[in-house]
Amino acid sequence: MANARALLLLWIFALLGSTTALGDDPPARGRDPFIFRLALDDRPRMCVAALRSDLFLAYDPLTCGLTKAFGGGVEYRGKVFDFSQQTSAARAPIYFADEAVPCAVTKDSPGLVLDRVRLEDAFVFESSGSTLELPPIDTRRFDLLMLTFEEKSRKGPLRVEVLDDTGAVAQWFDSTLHGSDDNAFQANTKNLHVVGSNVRIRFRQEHAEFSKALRGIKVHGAPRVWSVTVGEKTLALEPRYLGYSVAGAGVGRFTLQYALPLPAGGKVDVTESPEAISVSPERVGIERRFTIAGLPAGATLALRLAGEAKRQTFRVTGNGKLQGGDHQEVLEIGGDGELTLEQWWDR
Amino acid sequence: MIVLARRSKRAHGALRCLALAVALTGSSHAQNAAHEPGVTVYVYDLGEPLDGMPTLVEGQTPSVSFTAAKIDGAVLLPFLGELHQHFYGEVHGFLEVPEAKTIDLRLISSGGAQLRFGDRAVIDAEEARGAQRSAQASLTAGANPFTLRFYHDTGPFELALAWRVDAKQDFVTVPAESLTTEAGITHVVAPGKKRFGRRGAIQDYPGDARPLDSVHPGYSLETIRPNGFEPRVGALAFLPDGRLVIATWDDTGSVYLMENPGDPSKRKLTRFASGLGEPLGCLVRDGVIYVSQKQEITRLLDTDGDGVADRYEAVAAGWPQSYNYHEFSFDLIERDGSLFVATSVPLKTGLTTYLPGSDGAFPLPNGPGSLWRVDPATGAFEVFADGFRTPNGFCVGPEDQIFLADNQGSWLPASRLDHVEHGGFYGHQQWPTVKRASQPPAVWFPQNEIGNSPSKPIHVRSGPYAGSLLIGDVTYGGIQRVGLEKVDGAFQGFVVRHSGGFEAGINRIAEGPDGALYLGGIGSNGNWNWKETKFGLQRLVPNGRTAFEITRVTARRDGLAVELSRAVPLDVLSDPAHYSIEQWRYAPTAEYGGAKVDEERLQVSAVEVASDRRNAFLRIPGLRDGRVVHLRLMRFVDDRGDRLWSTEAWYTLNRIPSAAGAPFTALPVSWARPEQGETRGDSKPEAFVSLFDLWPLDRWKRVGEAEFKLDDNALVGSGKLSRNSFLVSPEVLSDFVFECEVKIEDQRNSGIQVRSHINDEGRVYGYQIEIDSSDRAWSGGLYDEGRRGWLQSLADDPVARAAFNRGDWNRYRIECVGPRIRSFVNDVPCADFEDTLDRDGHLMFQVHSGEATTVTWRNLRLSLR
Repeated sequence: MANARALLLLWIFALLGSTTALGDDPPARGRDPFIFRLALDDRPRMCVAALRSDLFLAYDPLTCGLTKAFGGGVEYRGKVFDFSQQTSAARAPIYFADEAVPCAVTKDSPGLVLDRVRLEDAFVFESSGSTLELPPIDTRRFDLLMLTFEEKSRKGPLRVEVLDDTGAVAQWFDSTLHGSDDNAFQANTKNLHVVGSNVRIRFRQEHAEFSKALRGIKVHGAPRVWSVTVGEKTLALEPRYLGYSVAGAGVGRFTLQYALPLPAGGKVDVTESPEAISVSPERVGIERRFTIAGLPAGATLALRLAGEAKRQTFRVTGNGKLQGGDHQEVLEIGGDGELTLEQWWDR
Repeated sequence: MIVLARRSKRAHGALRCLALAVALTGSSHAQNAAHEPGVTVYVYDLGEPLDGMPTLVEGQTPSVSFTAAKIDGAVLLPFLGELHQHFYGEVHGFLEVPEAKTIDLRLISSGGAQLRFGDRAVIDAEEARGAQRSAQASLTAGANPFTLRFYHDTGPFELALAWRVDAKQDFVTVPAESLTTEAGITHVVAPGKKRFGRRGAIQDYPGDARPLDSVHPGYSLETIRPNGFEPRVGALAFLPDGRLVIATWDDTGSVYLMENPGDPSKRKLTRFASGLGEPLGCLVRDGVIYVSQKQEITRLLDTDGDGVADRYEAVAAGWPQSYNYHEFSFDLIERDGSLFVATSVPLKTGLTTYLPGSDGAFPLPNGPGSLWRVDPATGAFEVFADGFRTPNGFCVGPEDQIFLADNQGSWLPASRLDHVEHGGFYGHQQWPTVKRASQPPAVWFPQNEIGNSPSKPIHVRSGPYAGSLLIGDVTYGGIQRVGLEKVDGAFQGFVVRHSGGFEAGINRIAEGPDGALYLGGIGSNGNWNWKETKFGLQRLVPNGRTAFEITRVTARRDGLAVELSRAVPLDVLSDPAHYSIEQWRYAPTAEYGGAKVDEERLQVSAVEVASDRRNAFLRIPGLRDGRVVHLRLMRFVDDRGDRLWSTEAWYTLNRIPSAAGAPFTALPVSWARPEQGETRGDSKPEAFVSLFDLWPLDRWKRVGEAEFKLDDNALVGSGKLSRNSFLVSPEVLSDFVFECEVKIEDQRNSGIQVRSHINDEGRVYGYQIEIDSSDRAWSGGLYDEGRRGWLQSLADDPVARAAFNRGDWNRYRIECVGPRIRSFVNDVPCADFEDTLDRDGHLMFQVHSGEATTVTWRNLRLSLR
C-alpha cells in the first residue's frame, strides 16, 4: 500500500513536472544533427530524434509509428560511421520498444521443435533431414517482416520453409553458399511475406555430408500502429510518410508529417511533434502533439501505444482519449483537431 | 558528440554560429574504423617468374582477397586456391598489445618479405629467398597498424609472422587474439594477370598502361575546400544563382552550400541541411534542392529564409529495400518531368547475397538493382530498368538518353556504361542460376586497366570535349572520357583516360556555370578508396591548352579510325608497328569479376593517314562483334616530339558497322617530317609551337604585381601598378621567331621583352618591343628596358607608326636571329637592330605602371631557329 502511495506521488510529481518544461525553447539536443536517418536495429530508413542526450526517439517512416525510446544514445555502425557492414543499434537504457521482434530464438526458447539438431553455442545440423522449427508467430501486424540468422559453413545450403496457418509451405528459400570463410558465422536476411496468426518457420538440412550451424535467429519487422474503425469494422492503415520539419535553425521543434489513406478513399493528414518533458530522475517523458485533418464523420482513428517498457503512463489532452488497459493502450481519435499525448516511462 | 547548450532565443544566433562552425569542420562524430579479429590479405597473380619484390602498377584489384585468422602459411594456403606460384601479396592488420613494449619479431617467407609499421620498415628481406629475418619493434599500447608485403615464386609457399615477448622464449606465430583488421571490408577481386615492375621499377609512364597521375594539361586544378572541411562528397549540383550544392556521405548526412565557388576571395560555405541517410544524389528543380537518401527522395525547403532547411519533404519513399549496407540509393536526375534514382543489390563479403526460393532470390525481392522512375507530383515509383549491381551514377546523355555506370562484381566481369532503355535488363542476375538475356553495355571499362568503380557520368555540353561523357572513378581514380557513336541504331564507343592528379577518388562531377568542372571525392575503408584517400572537393578550370591525346576512336567495317589532337609525323602515324591491338569478350558469372575470354592479339595490316596527320584509319583483319578492342599507340610523338598524354583506348565493338566509312584524303607523297627547329616559312603551322603548350602558365614566373591569366588560350595581363610588372618565361631563348596578336586600351603602354634578364634586385632589363597606343605610336620600336633606353624609336618612321591599330588586335612578329632583332606590326617592318650585348634571355610580357591597364595577347606561338 505504501509503495502504491509512493508511486502515486511520483506520478503526480511527474505530471506537475511535465507542465513546466516546454514552450518555444527546446532542450539541449543530444547530437548534431539531432534529427537523423539511418538503419537502426536492423530496420532500414529509421528517423531518429536525439531530443536530449538521455532521450532518443526512433520513428519508422514505413509505419509512421514510434518504435523505440532510449537513453543510451546510438551504437553507430555502418559504412558512414565505422566503415563496417553492420547496422546501428539503440543503446540501453531502453525506455520503450514496440514489438518489433516477435521472435528471437535461443536454445531455451519455448516451443522449439528440434529433430536431430545438436545444441551447442549454436544449433548444429549434422545429418540429412535434421530439422529446427521455430515456435508459431503471429505475423499479421507487421510490415517488412524479416528473418535473420547467422550461419556457419558455405557448403550445402539449408532449406528454409515458411508454413502458413494451414500448415502448407507458403514460402521457401535456401540459405546462401557465399562467404569468405568456412569457419565464420555469416549473417543472412530474408523477407517473409506469409501472413497468419500461426506462421511457422522450419530449417531443414538436405545435405548430410556437411555440418551446418545456426545462431542469432530472429524474426523482426515493422509493426503497424495506425488503424481506423468505421462502424464495426477496424482496418490497419498503411501510412504515407511525407517528411518532417525542424524549427529553430535545425535545433528547434521537430514535426513529422504523414497521410493515412483510408480504405474507402480519401486520407487523413496527421502531424506529430514530439518533445522531451523534464520530469524526475526516475522517469523520462515526452509530449507528442498531434494535428488531425480529414477524418470523416463516424470514423475513429487509433494509434497503438502498447509496447515493452518497465512502466508506461499517459495523459491525453484535446481531441482524443486513451483506451485499453495495461499493455493494451490505444489512443483513440474521434475527429479532426489537435491533441497532446504525454507519455512517461521509468528510466 | 556535440551537445548544443540550452539557450534562450537571444542566444539563438550565437548558437547557430557554433553549430555552423562545428558543421564546417566536416563530420561532428569522428569516424573510427571498427576492428574485427584477423588480418586482411590481398594476393595478386603476376604470372611470371619473380626474382625480387615486384612493384604493382597502381589501381589493380587483387586476384584473391580474404580475412585470415593469423599470418601462417598453413592458414593462408587454402585461400589461394589454384594460385601456387608467381604471386605477390599484402597483409594489412593491427598488432594488438595491451601495453607499450619492445618485442622481437621474426618474418619467415619462401620469397622476399617486408614488414612495415607505418612508414618504418622493421624487417626488410625483399631480395632474399627463403628469408627468415628477425628484428625488434617498439609497439604502443593498443592497435599497431602494419603492412606485410611478400612475394612467392615457385615451390612450397611459406609465410609466417612470429614473435617472442621474452628473449628467453622461443619464437611463436603471432596468435590470432593479437591480430585485428578493419571490419566490414568488401573483398573485391578480379581475375587475370596483374601488371607490375621489377625491383621497384615500373616501365611505361603514367597514362601508358598505367593510370594517369597528374592533371590534364587542358585544365588548371584548384582545391576549393576551406581548411578543415573534409567532405566525402555524395552529390554535387548548382543552384540557379551559382551556389554549389554539396551533399556529404558521412555520419552527419549534410548538404552544404558554397557561394562563389570559383572565386577564392569570396568563397563561403554554410551547412544547409543535415541528418540525411547516406545522400548520394542531388538535383535542383525550380531552384529547390532535391536529394536522394537511402530509400527516399527528399525535397529540402527553407521556409523561413534563415539559410537553413527547415522542411525535409519526402517526395517519394518506400521502394523495396532491406537494411543491407550495400543497398544504396544512387544519384538523382530528371528527364521529361520524371525523377530517376537507382538502387544497388545487397552484398555479403563482396558477393551478391542470394537466398533463392519461391519468391525471388535477393533477401528482399523485386527492387534492389533497379533504376526507378518517380513521379515527383504523386511520389509513385516504378522500375524503369533493372539488372544493375552498383549503379553509382547516371546522366542524360546524347539524344536525351540515360547512360548509367555500373561497378564490376558478380555478373559484371568489368564495370560498364549502359544505355538504359525502358524495360531493359543490364546483366546483374537476380537469381544465382537462372539467367535473363541482358543488353550489352555501350562501353566496357576493363577492370584495372581503365576502371574499377566508375561513378557519375556527365554529358559535356561545351568546350573541346562537348558531346563526350566524363566519368570519375572512386577506386581506380581520376576521370575517364567516353565517346559514343551509333552503329545499327545502338550506342557503342570508346573510353580513354582523361585526367588524374586529384586529392581523392572521384565520386561526383558537376559542370559549373563558369565552365569549370567541380569534382567531389570520396573513400571508405579497405579497398573502397583511391590510395586510401577519403574526401575531396576540387575544381578543374579549362585553361585553353590542348594536350596531345586521342580525341576519338570510331568503328569501321574493316577496322578502327583514330583521331588525335595534334599532327603526328607521318613515319609514326603510318607505321603499323606503332599500333598494338587486342580483342576479347566477357562471360559473366556469379563469381566476383570475370576473366577475359577469347583473348587474341590482332595485327594492323595497313594504315591510311589523313592529310592533317591527326587522323588515321587502321585496317584490322579479324575484328569480331561482341568484343572489347584495346588499342595502344606505341612510341607516338607529335611534330614537337611530345609523347601522348594517354596512349590507350578501349572500344566496345558490340557491332561492326556495315559501312566502310568516308575515305581518307591521301597525304601528299612529298610530305617530309620537319626537322627540329626548322621554320618552313612564316605561316607554316608545323614549324611553330603554341607558347603555352610549350610552357604551361604555371611554369612562368611573375615579377611585380600585375595579374596574368589565360582566358580561352589568350594571355591577359592587368593591373594598376606603381612599378612595371612582367610575366617571365621559364626558360631562356636565343634564336627564335615569335608571333602573336596584341590588344590594349587606348593611351596605354606595354611591351614584349626578348633576350631579357632579371638582376639580383629583381629588376627586369633587356630588349623590349614596344606596344604603344598613345599618340606617340612607337609600337614595334626597340627599347632597352632597365638599361640603355631607346635603341630604335619610330620617331622618324611614319609608316611604322601608322601600322598599329588602336583599340583593336595587332599582329606582332619578332625575329631574334644572331645579333639581329627585327619587329613587324601588322606585317609592317618596324625595328631592325643589331646588337651583341645579349644573344639570349627570357621572353617576357609587360604590364606597364601607371593607369589601370589590361593587355591581351593571343595566338602566341614560337619557332626556334
